[in-house]
Amino acid sequence: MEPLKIALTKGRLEQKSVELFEKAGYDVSALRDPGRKLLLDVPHTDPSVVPLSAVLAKAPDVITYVERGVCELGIVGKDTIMELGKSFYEVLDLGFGKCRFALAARPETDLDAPSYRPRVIGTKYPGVTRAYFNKRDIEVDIVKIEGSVELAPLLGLADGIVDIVETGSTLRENGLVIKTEIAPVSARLIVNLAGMKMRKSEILDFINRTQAAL
Amino acid sequence: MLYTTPSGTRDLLFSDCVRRRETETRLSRIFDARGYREIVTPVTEYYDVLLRGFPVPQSELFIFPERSGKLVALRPDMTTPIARVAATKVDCTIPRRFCYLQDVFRAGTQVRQAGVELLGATGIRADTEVIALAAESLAATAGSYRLEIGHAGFFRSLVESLHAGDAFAEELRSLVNRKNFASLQDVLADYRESPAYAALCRLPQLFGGEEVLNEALTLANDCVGTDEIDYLRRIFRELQAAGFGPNVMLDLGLVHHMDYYTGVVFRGYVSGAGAPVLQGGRYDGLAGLLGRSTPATGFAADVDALAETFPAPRETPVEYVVHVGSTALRRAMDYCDSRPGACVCSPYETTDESRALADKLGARLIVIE
Repeated sequence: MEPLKIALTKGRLEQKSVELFEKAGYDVSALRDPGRKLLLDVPHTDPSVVPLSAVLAKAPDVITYVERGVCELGIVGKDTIMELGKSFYEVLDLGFGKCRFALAARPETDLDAPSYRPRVIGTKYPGVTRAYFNKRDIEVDIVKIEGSVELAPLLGLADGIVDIVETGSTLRENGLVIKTEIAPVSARLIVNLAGMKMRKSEILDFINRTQAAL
Repeated sequence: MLYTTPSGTRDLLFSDCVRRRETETRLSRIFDARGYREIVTPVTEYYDVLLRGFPVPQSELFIFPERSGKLVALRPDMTTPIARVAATKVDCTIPRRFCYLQDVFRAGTQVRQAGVELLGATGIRADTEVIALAAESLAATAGSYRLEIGHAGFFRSLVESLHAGDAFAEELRSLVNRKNFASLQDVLADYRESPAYAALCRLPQLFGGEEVLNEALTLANDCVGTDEIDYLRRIFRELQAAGFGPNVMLDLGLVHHMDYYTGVVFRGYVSGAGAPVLQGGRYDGLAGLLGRSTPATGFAADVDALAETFPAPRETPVEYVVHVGSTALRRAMDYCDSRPGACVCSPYETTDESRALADKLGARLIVIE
């Protein structure tokens, strides 16, 4: 049986994905100890079920692999999906990796007040930020930041930030408050458009198994 | 210094061209056999015309002023140019069949498209003709394929029964189109009492064989007309009877370009390509926008994506290097013509140089004095 290829996001979502597969009846020993191997065999304990072949990748790469169809399936955070917004089916909310997109600033900053000049927003997510402000017809000057985004308002680089927030403790410790919750974020199961049609029964079977294990 | 092609464009060399040509030959043969006649339109259209045609976001167009200052754009699809031709040059009170092999320019990329349009005909005979032609086009090029068929009217009437705004309808469309089961239920939470709720929630999963039509009828629960479902059933059965078998599927969650399609919609996939390679459907509103109302159905296929599914052809090796003497031109040409593809004439005047070339190419030297 030709395995279904699945791309998993390394790091935060990895452990939970592996636990999910184990609960769904897959033999995850290769995933628990990948060593230097890049393509990992994940057979099902029931040999009549199509096995998986897994790759561990960075979140944007998971989306690239699935969109291009080199992997039929992928597990990736809604944050990356919202930022990159490519073409694929988003079939399951896996419920783990929960956090939210938030717009935060110093307490005295009023981001809603009318302003003659564009808002300056620091973020790792320029796509999400632009979409949020465009929808509200607010002009925005986005500063792309790779590291600690919370620094931007403190240094006077930005009026506010858009970032993913889990507990909010980093914001609090740096004197920032959440102004608006933009969207909830969690891990999603995504499927390649053509794969869903070319291998329909196998993929639906996998989705059902995964859903039952949630 | 780097000499690259502009982004979104590429060179095609040798075997790529052979594969493209082979794909186009096979497609045109089928189009021709069914009475579709080729048209060629200019690479540019007036921006005014495009605004009245297939809706393409301005940001996806290549727009520039022509010499008079009027705005023109590289054609983003072939549907609008054909609608323009139909509205201005061809009498479409009888059915007309057009086909084309042309490049389109969209969202920063140049794509080679092959497609057909059947204008001036409405109803199931026209729809099945074009859908079957799409299936045959995929079968003749890629071999292993799937063609999925849906209906714009089913989704539209479900959404209309909610009496919600356009923005909400668009949000639902986008979620159904991405088969985003989870968010769809959240977004529809306020409509749980609506008779369309069950069908809308289930819509992304309603793809497969004829059983999805039965399920749709049960779920739709008389809240919408069942004409679309009955229509799809007739088309599906005709295609089954015509031997297309499991390659043709139904997908009621196929809701791309809903603002444009008015009837059946379909999309084709082949193994080895991650994105759809063929898209089409019925749209009876477009030519009306251009001044004359004409029903239309058609599809466009991505030629190079189909060509990619062919094994790369081996390049024909040069077997003979022909040294051409000063009075031997005619005989040398005849010699080459008798062995098509295997000969090249030497560009040198001395046999020594020609021999060196033949050695370099691993070919035999033929001297014609």
